[in-house]
Amino acid sequence: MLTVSGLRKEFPGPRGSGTVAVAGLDLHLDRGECLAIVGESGSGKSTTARMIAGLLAPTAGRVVLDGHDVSRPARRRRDRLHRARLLQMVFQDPYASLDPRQSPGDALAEVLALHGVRDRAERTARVRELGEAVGLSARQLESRPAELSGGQRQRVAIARALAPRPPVIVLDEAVSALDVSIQAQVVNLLADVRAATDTAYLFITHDLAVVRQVADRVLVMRAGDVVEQGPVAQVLDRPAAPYTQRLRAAVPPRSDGARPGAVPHQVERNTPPCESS
Amino acid sequence: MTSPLLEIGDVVVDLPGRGTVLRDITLAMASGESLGLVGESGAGKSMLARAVAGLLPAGAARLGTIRFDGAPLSRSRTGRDGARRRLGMVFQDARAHLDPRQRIGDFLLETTPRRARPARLPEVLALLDRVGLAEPRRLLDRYPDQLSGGMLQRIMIASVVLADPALVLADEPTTALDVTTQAEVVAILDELRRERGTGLLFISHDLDLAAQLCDRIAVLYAGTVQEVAAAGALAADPRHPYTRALFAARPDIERRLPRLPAIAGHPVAAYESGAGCAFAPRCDRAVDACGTALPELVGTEHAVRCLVAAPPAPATRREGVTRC
Repeated sequence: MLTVSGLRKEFPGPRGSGTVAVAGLDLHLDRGECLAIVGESGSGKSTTARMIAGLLAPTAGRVVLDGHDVSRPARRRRDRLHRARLLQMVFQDPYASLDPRQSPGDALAEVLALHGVRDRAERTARVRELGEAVGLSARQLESRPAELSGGQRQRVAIARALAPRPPVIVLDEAVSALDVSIQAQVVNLLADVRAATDTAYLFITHDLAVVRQVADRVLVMRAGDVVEQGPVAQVLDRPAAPYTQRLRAAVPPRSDGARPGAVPHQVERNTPPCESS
Repeated sequence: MTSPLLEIGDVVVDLPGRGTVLRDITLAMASGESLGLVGESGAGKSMLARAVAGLLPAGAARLGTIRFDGAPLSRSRTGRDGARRRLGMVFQDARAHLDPRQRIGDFLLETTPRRARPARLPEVLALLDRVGLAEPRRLLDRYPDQLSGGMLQRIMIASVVLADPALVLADEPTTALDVTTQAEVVAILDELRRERGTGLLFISHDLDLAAQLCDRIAVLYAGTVQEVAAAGALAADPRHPYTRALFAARPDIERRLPRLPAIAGHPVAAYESGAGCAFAPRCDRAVDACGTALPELVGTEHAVRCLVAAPPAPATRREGVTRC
């Protein structure tokens, strides 16, 4: 469905210096599959997502989506719409990506109209259907974004991404800012949507527990490079790369039953001072 | 607890334009103890930290008493707050609390008279090394924007420790940090606390992280303490339906669940909740009485505010949970 090869992004710096944000990345995503990209800040995971979504032009490399080369950001309206039908994106903060004056229902209807649903009655029916798919009531579809909770706003963002029925959705830290009880609802919702529609997810996150719950395969990035990839069970249970092992060990243990966690003290602590970019 | 280090009694906080954000908060901490305050959005955990720190928003009304080191704390911090002198604070965003034009060395020695600075320098350098910062001498000449968030948080911790506090109040100190940096910062907080016998009030949305670091945990929901217990006892035997649901809803890094046991609805603030238990509308065990009156917080070692709380687990199961 999605094939990425040799994807690279350099950001130029002063006096010929520059930063390599992504240093040549290959990945593929099959229909209905969920691939997680994990990493910490500066790993290049969000830059990768933005290049695949066409929000950022790669320095080199190819992005092929359903047989179409989409390596360059689309210029013409027709290309943009075509691309939007193939791939949608959900961001961390749905508040920033929703128009505060537009009701979720109107926002969904607008997306549907843009993607060729011309009949008003059909649009209304599809809006209701999308609302049901993500667990938003008719009343919530009529409210203003400010009246909705963070979890409800993220449901709106997911419904909007689903509206053009894209085969691929890129989720960039889409559940990271949510409260635990709401995160569980949205994680379940994403699983339901994938099962019902066979949509593939590229799931960008820093949270390994969420990866275990949602993804089939995982790719671990550090400083622009892929350090490890494989099926989720393999990477999380038997991490091969030292960095993946460190990442895994840094997650506080689950404090269930008679095993409360204790703070580990063998962590590597000496970080040399460095100039931040 | 003979003489508590921090004693919070029947604290209620009302914010202008919003209403009640904390109600009936009663908590105590012994000297050298670490207490975790855990909750979701609207739980009031940061507002409680601000009440202790004397940093409530303008116009906020606070009822009840907060005593620290034997002295009552005023509602808001004053220029020379003697009572809060031995209270150190670490916040989520270290960068926002540092002056970008001030060198790290000047920041760390800000309160030391210029004449006394050379004598204080070895202690500062040793402490920077202690919190895991390499080449501390070079670091003193740097500005905040030359350093990463993890390094700044270490510097904040060092600056707090320099003041020799009896209690460190840390409000989501690692939330903005990467997970490997978080592990390091948590280890530093824990080591310094144990070495110096400092109390730690640790505020977090992360139950596992709080359980890892703290002796006891207080679970907040809608501005109210719902359950308080030793970290091990809480993890082994959560009694409040909210605590149970919160434990269950976390994704598990060890195994995939067929479905996450989500809690219906969304968290509310105290002013959005009715007369009864604020969790009742989301609770699968709620009975009619839950909606009418706020239950009392019942129990000493393991206290629960719930009419239908699960009874204590059999003693055999609880024996193995004393915290090491």
